[in-house]
Amino acid sequence: MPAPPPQSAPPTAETDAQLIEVSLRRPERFGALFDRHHEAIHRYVHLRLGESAADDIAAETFLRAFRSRTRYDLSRPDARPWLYGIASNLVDGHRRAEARRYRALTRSAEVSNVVSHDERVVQRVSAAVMQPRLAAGLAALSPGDRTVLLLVACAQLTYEEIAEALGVPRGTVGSRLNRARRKLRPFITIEESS
Amino acid sequence: MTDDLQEIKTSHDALPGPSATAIVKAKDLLAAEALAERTPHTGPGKHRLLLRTAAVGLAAAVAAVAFLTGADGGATPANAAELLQEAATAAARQQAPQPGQILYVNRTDQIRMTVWGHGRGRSEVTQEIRREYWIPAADPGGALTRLTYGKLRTHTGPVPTSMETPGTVEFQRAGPCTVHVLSPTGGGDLPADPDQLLTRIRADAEASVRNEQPEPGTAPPSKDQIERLIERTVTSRLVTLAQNPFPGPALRAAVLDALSQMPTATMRTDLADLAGRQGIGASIRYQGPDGWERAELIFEPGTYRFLGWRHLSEPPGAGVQSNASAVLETKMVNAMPNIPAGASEAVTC
Repeated sequence: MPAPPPQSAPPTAETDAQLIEVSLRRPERFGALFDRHHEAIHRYVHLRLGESAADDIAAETFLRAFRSRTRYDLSRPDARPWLYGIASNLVDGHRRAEARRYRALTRSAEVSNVVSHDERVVQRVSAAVMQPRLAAGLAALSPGDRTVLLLVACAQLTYEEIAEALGVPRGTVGSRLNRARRKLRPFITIEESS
Repeated sequence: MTDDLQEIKTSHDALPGPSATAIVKAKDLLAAEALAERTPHTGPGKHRLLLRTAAVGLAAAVAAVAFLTGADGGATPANAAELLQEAATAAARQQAPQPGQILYVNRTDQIRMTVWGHGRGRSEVTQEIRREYWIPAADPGGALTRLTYGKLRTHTGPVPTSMETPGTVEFQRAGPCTVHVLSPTGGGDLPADPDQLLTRIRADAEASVRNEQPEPGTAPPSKDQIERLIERTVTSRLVTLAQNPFPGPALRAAVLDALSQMPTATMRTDLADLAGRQGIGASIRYQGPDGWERAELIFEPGTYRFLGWRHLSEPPGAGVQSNASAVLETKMVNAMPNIPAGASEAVTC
């Protein structure tokens, strides 16, 4: 006879995998996964492509996740790597837009001496999004290296989770991160020393 | 975190979250997708596309509500099948005990029965019994059950003298207390896959029913009667398994999943278990030997933890009789009690 059931204490909150599993029978339950992670995904995309694009891409991320949830590996309780992977792939399709954004944020540093009210507003808004030197540093990175760096910094994913999210070996994650940080360092260092 | 990563994180964290409009729009899209998925894909592709497009508008008003209200355990299943599937999922999530651990189950039962006295006629009584089970994970067959008899209520007839007085304690070794729903020839453990489980129980039920010899002088049952008997047997065996504390998480999940396929299951949201806890239940009706019977499995709303069950029979020309049970506690313990010397052995489980 198989082993009996254990304690009847109320279970802790469902894991992402459990929500996804339930959503296979009750699709509306996927909404709980949306509630958990939409804001984080939106913020990640916002950093890379701006708010307007983030609205669309974060929504598209969850639509794609919903459609492909039957293929989700239910042994992975945390769906964040999966969602960030989808979002990163979508962002990857907007490389030129991302590059333009970083260049624009970089240029805000060049207007520090302007005196018009409008330009000062632009500068403050830009600085609130990202320090220009950081934008310049991110612009200098290859898309692949940048994605790994931002997944570590923003999403706080582990090497293994990033490897899972991007479908690359763990070693590749490490080498991309090292390369990205090495390229980024001069931009940070210059600013600090100045 | 080093400076460069921290600086990126600070910039990231300082960004505003999505606007309310963006959230609602995204949820509407997702809700429409869910609604479209629920719609059977029977029509041509163009029809489905139109349906999906229309669903976006409809979802904003209807389906999105389900997302906005957040179904993190809050939404009520639409029907008994969904409820039982939720319960199956909850059961499957339970971690199986490790070898060396002992599962302790404390439940209270209320049993209604007919008692025949010595020349004093028949009595209808209800007895309360507290049942405690100690089930070793490594050897469920070595489980121990302790019964403590509680209040006895007499509904009709004289107060029977043969009933255990309140406070009487009896012990029962597991053997007879474990539930084997398969016939002796059915053999082996039950599979933990719902479809296989149902197939196995149905095959055994069919063999049992077909092998049953009609009473002397009575006509053999018709094909239709045989089919009904098989269905009754299948349902009652699944219900028996669902009520029993011995099956492990996987088999319990399979049983509940199989029950979700029973066409006579209906959902009730107004149930309370024997301990008075409000619950949501699946009511499964089936034809018993003396008329229609109904088993109600009661679950905690939201978590779908099994709270207990009620059993009601509807014998022709008589009122509804009720047995009920509430699971008060289940936990892991390290030891089971010793049976005191001279303790009575229970005649029931």
